[in-house]
Amino acid sequence: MKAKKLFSVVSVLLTLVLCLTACGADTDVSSNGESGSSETEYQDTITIDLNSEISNFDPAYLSGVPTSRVACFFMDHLCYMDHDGNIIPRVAESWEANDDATVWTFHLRKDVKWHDGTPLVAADVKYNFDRIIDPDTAALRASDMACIESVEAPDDYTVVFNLNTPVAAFITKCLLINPALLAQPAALEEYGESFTDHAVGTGPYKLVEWVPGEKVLLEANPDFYLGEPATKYIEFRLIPDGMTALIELEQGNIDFLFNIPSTELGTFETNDDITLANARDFGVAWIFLNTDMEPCNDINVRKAIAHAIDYQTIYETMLSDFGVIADSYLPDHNWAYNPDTTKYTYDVEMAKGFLADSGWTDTNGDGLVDKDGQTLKLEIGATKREADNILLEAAQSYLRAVGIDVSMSVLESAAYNERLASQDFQAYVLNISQDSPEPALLIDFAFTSYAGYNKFGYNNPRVDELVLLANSTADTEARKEIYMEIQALIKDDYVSLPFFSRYAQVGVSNKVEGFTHSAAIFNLEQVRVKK
Amino acid sequence: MLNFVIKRLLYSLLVVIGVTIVIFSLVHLAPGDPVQMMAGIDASPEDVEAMRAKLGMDQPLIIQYFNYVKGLLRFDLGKSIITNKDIADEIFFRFRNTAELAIVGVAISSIFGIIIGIVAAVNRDRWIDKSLMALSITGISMPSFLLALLLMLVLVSRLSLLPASGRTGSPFTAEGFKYIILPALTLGISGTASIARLTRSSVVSVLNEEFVMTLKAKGLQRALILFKHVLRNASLPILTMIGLDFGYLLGGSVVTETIFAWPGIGKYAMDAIAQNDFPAVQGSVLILSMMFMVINLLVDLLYGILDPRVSLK
Repeated sequence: MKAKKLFSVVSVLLTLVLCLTACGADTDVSSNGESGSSETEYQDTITIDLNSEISNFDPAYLSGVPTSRVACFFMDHLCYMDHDGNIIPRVAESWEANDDATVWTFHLRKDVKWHDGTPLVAADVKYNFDRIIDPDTAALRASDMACIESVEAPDDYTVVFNLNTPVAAFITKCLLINPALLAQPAALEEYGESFTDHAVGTGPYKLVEWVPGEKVLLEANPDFYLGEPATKYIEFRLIPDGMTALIELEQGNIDFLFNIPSTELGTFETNDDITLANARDFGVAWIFLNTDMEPCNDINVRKAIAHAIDYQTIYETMLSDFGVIADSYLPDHNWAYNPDTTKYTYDVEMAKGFLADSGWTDTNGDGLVDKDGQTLKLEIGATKREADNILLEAAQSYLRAVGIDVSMSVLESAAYNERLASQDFQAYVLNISQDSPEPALLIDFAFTSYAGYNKFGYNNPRVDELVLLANSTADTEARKEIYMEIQALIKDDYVSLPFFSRYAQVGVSNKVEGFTHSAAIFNLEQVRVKK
Repeated sequence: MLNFVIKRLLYSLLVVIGVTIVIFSLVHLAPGDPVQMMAGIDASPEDVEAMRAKLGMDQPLIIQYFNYVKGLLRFDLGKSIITNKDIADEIFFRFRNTAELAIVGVAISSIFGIIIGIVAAVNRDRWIDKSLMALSITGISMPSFLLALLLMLVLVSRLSLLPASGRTGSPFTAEGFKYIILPALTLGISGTASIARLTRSSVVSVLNEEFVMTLKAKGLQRALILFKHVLRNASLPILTMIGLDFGYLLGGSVVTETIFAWPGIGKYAMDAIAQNDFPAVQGSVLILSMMFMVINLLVDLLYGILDPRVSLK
């Protein structure tokens, strides 16, 4: 009898909890920052997920994609990219370079104001760049701006960059990167290390507040020189777990989702309220072969590896959700793409032939090739990114079929990056995102002998020479020819195996209007979200 | 008593020194050069060295350790190399959020755990007891990430009853409360299961004592015996368990806070690890270890106060 009473107490309590939660849900009308006004048809807030904490809004120390995505709403670059990756005016309304691309002159708009209402003048731009190139600032990526010798501001609306070397792609390489974001000098000086809490720029939105661990709130800038944005607020909500963020998108609590769990792409096919927007990214996923280490210092081994893999089948069966197949160092939609480079056709016999040419044969019948009693072993490093692991596992089985004993080192990103930085992998998967079609960004940064991303010991003097030539060539057609030749040279050296060019993906609520997705920019100035 | 407290405090001091050495070594021995990570793998060696000098990380490890300890003596945990914010402030700010979660989580586990435990004990060996205990074994065994996702799928995806993540204002308001329910339930359910099992066994063992028989013989009402006499005698281990559970939750639950984007101390530690923010890792692990020490000390002292038979020597 008593037990029955207790049982009913438990039931009542449980019912109470459920009722409370249900009542709570009914009153949830403002969870997405809606204004609550019944006349307006649109929400006053666009909500976007952030998968990791903001780092630092000071352009000198700003790092990481999420931070940069937020910062670009309230700080401007001199120029901008359109959805196709073309460079268009922003703070600078026009510009010109001298014949050898060593002096770049920018003419600024006269109606650009900082968020506190003071006008932006050329001296402000000079201040920003002087600060970045000053060694005492120890700015991140200062070396990307090493070509800048000096910056001048001859009048209030003209900025002149004097370079110490010709750089035809100066705008893309130096003016569209994080340290080139324009921050108000007065705010930088006044707030110093706490600039992140008080960032002042010229962008379409102003920073209202950053609550660490929770959110960043931006408010439309009514004085924005290209017109006030359509939606009043943008809220970036920190949601580290991709699955949770996807549920929030499905529930309509966020409008854009960047951190899409790769195993859940199917959700977008079954849910009519959300869409997966795919845009072509300008980066490529490769396996790089380290020419400084055995066994890939032997071109025959590299050739054997290249021809042992069936790229087409791997792509069609496993990678088509992630991007488009690639066969060069630039994806096929890049203006400088060369379709006529040496093809790495899948041919097991040819691969075995290359191995035999260097003395690697299966003498003991264990299925693995050997030479002087040593089996041919290859360690390939990768991060835990799913697409990278899929391509690596597939490549491993194909390489095993020609007798190469491949071991996979799938590492946490910190451990992977440390080994990569010290050039410690015999081979590695590198899958980088690139928002710009500028070929210099991929080729110069990875394939010159001095490149930061060249962690595979590649050194082809002709490639270095052509890169210098491309840098001092202003004519686009001529540059295209040079980059096509570079692609052919690299492909003939068998130093890296292109697999696929990935999609830039974003999950979008179907209530969103006026949004165009591209890898180049994430622009929400005309975007509205229906209630 | 006083001697015991002084002795325990001295032990704690030794443990704190040990913890600082272990944390410092772990952070500096872990793979990944934090400076290289900050600068990016394509950064030039000059950029990396300039950054290293700026952070004071170009000095020998032992000097860095002493600088770190000197900071600690001034209650200065340093600044995050990612956000440039004061770590002590950040941790203090997030501690409040974690404490909110711990309070609601422990409230859930205590209320339901004790009720279920008593129901099971008074129905010992009947089907109701067996099924409740089977349920609590499931509760204890279920990993929190699975429980979190199940709750989210049912209460958010299917029924749309609650928001999936985040924290909006104080959870002790109607609007804010909705946000704490899911993470608190996730934490509370596993606590409920263990408290229920413990309550059951404590109550059962007290019910078997002779004084209960005497009370029954005196004709006291069963409810009175149960709540006034049995529960009081059975409460010591239950209170200890609740205290430990609370202390454990105050340390922040990394998984639950991450899944539900609850900006607590566990998530702060997790973010710091993921971003190689080594001063923040050092700071948060140090605070978490100290919290465990304090909770253990308090529980030991509480034991002595609640049960005079326990000698504090």
